[in-house]
Amino acid sequence: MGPTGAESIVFVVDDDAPVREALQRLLRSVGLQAQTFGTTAEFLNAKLPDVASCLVLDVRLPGISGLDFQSELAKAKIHVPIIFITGHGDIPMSVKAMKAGAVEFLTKPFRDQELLDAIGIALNLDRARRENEKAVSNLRALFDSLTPREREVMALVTAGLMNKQIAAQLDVSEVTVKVHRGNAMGKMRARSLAELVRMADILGIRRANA
Amino acid sequence: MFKNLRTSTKLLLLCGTFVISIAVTTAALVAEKQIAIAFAQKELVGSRYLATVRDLYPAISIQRDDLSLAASGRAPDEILKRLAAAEADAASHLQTAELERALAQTLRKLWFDKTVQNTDQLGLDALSSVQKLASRIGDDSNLTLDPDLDTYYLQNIVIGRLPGLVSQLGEMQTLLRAANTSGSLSSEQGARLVFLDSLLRSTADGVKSDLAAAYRGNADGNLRRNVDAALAATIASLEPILGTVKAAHLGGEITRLDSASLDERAFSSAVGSIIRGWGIAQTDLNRLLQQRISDLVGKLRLSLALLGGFLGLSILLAIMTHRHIVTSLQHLEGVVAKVRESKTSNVASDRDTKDEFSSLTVAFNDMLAELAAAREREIADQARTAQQTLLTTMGQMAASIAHELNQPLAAIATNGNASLRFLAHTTPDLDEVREALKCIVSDGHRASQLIGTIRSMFKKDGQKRAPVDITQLIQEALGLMQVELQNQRVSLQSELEPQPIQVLGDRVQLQQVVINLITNAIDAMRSVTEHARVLRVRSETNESDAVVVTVEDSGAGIDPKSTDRIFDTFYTTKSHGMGIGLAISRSIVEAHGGRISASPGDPHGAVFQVVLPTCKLGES
Repeated sequence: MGPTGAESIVFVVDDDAPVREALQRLLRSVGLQAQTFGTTAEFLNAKLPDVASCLVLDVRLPGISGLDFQSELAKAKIHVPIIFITGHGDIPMSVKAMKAGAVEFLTKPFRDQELLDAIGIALNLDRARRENEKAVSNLRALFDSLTPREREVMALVTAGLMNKQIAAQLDVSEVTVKVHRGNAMGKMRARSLAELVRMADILGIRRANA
Repeated sequence: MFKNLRTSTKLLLLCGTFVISIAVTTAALVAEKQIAIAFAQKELVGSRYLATVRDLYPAISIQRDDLSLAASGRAPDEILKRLAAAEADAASHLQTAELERALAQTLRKLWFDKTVQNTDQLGLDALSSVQKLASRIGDDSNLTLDPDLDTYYLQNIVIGRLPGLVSQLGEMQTLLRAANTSGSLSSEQGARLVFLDSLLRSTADGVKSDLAAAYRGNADGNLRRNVDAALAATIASLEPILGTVKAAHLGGEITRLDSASLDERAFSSAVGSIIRGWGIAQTDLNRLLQQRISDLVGKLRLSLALLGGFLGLSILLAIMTHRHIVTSLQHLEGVVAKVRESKTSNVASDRDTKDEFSSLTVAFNDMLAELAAAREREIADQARTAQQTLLTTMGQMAASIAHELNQPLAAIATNGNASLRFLAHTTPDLDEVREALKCIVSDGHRASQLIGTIRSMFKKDGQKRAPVDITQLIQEALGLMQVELQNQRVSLQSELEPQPIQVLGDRVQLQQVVINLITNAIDAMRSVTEHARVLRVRSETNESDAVVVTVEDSGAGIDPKSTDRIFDTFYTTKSHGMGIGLAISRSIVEAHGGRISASPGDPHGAVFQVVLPTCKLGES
C-alpha cells in the first residue's frame, strides 16, 4: 500500500517548525507531497487542493488542542482522516481521539514506518470516500437531467408501484408512464430496475416518496 | 457549693458528722445507764435505812419482855440516835421524817416514861409504826417498783412479809399474855387470835412463794445458797406457836387458855429467828443491788470503751483514706505533669493497687497508648501525603520536561529516517541528506539548550538562598521516607554529624536531591531478597570544609562503566521512571557549587556522594 504520486497530499499541522520540516522531508523521501501549517487557522484559511489527503495533527497546539480541532472539523463537514502525534500522550487522550475517528495516535519520537503506514491507510480511506462522493455527484447530475415528470415516475417505480397504478396516480395513460419510465432508465443509464432502485437509494428519493 | 470543696474538707465533714453522732449516742447511753444506776442506788439507800429499822424490833421486843435493856448491848439512846442518823442520810431520797419522829416518840414513851401502864399497847403501837415506816421506805426508795425478779421478791419479803410477821407475833403474844393475866378471853379476842393465826400462816406461805419467785429470777443461784437456810429456819420457828393456837382452837371456841399455851420462849425464839433471817435476806438484797449497780457501771464502761475504740478506728480510717486519695491524686497529677513536660505519650503510671485509682491509672495508660498510636498514624499519614505530593510534583515536572525534549528528538529521528530513505534511492539525493543532517545538528543543539534552560531554571532560584542545616534536612527527608522504608523492610543506618552543618542554598531543592537519592536506593533494593536491605546515610565535613553526604544501598548496584552516564537525562536502569531524577539532582547540586558522584558499593549496591560547600554562620 505504498503512497501514490501526485494524486494525494498530506497536510501537517504542528507548532514546532523543525518537526514540520522534518516531517515534510520524510514524506518527500517516500515521494509524498506535503503541505505544512504552524496553526490550525492557517490550515483552515488555505486553499486546499481537491485530491486524496490526510492530516497529521499535533495534540498540543497554541490556542487549541488537536482533539478539539478534530471535533471542529467534523462539525464543519471537513472529512479529512486524522493521524495524531504528541510529545506526551496518555491513554485517555488516545482513546478519545480514536473514538472520534482518528486513524492513529503516535507518541513522539515515533518510528517513521508507523507514521508512513498510518498515512497510507488514511489516504486510501480518503480516496475511497472521494470516489464514493464522486459517484453520488455523477448520479445527481444524471438525475438533474430528468424532466420533472420523469423524476416523479422514477420515484414511484422505485417505490415498487406498477405502471397501471402510477398511471392512475398521475392521471395519465399507462403508455405515457411506460415512455417516461423508458426515458428515465435511459438517462440514468440504468441497465435494470434493480440498478435504478439502488440509484434512488443513493440519491435518497425513494424514501421521500414511499 | 459542696462539689467545690476540697476532698480533705469533705472527709473532715464526714468525719465530724460521724463524731457528733457518736457523741450524741454516747450521751444518750450514759444518761440511760445513769438513770438505771440512780434507781438502784436509791434502792440501796432504802435498803440500808431498812437495816437500821430492823434493829428496832429486838429492842421493842426486849422492852416488852421486860428484860434488861443493857443485856441487849444497845442502849435505847443509841438506837434512837442511829435511827435519826439513818433518816437524815436518806432524807434527800425518802419522805420519812414524820413517820420517824412519830416512831421515836412512841419508843421514848415505851422506854423512858415510867407513868405509862399499858406497855403492851404501846409496844403494839411501836410495832405498827415500824411497819408503816418500813413500807414507806419501800415505796419511796423504788424498792417496791423494782422490775428485777430477784430483788423485787426479796424486798417484798424484807419490807412487807417479815415486818408483818413480827407485828402479828407481837399482837398474838400480847393477846395471849393478857389472857394469861385475866385467865379468860373475850369472844372478840378469841376471834382475833384465830384471825392472827391464819394471818401468820398466810404470811409464812407468802414468804415461801416470794422466795420461790426470787430464786427463779436469780440466775446464778447465789441467793438460794445465801438465804434459803435462814428463812427456812425462820418459818420453822413459827411452827410451835402456830401449833399452840391450833390446839386451843381445836377445843372449840376459844374463851380461855391455860398458862402453858403462852410459851414466851418460843415467841422470843421466833422473833429472833425472823430478825436473823431478815438480816441475812437484807444483806443479800444489798448484795444484789450492789451487784446490779456494778453490772450497770461495767456495761457502761464497756460501751464507752467500744464506742471510743470504734471512734478512734473510724478517725484512723478517715485519715488513711484521706492520705490514700490525696497521695493517689498527687501521683496522677505527677504523671500528667510528666506527660505535659515531655510532650510524649509514653509516660506510663505504674501503681499496683486494686482500687478506683488503679482503674483510673489503667484507663489513663490506655488513653496515652491510644494517643501515641493516633499520633504515629497522623505522622505516617503526613509523611505519606508529603511524599505523594512530592512525587506528583516531580512527575508533573518530568512530564513537562519530557514533552519539551521530545520535540527536538522527534525532529532528529524523523530527519534521520528521511536521510536514510534518501540515501536508499537509486540515485541518492545528497542535497536532501545534507539539509536533513543540518537540521539534526540544529535539533541536537536545541535539545541541549533545553537542558540548559532547565538547569538555569533551578539556578534562578539561587537568589533566594539561605543557610540550610544539612543534618536537619537529612533527618526531615528520612522522616518523610520512613513509611516507604518500613513498607520495603529497609533497615536504616544513619551516621549524621551531630553539629549543624550550614549550606547556603535552596532548602526545597536540596531536600529533593536527598529524597531522590533515598528513593533510588529503595527502588534499587526492591528486588533484593538474598541479603538484608540496608540504607546507610552519612554526613560529615571533610578537610576542605565541605559537607559530604553519602547514601549507600545494598541493592542491585551499578555498572562501573556507566557511573558517569547515570546522571544523564533520560538514562534509566529502572523498569519505570523517566530517567530524569539524577539529572535534576546533578543540576541542583551543581547549581549549589557542589558535585555528585556514584560508585559501586562493596560487596554490592551503589554509593552516591554529594559534596556541597558549607558556609559559616553569619557569612551569608
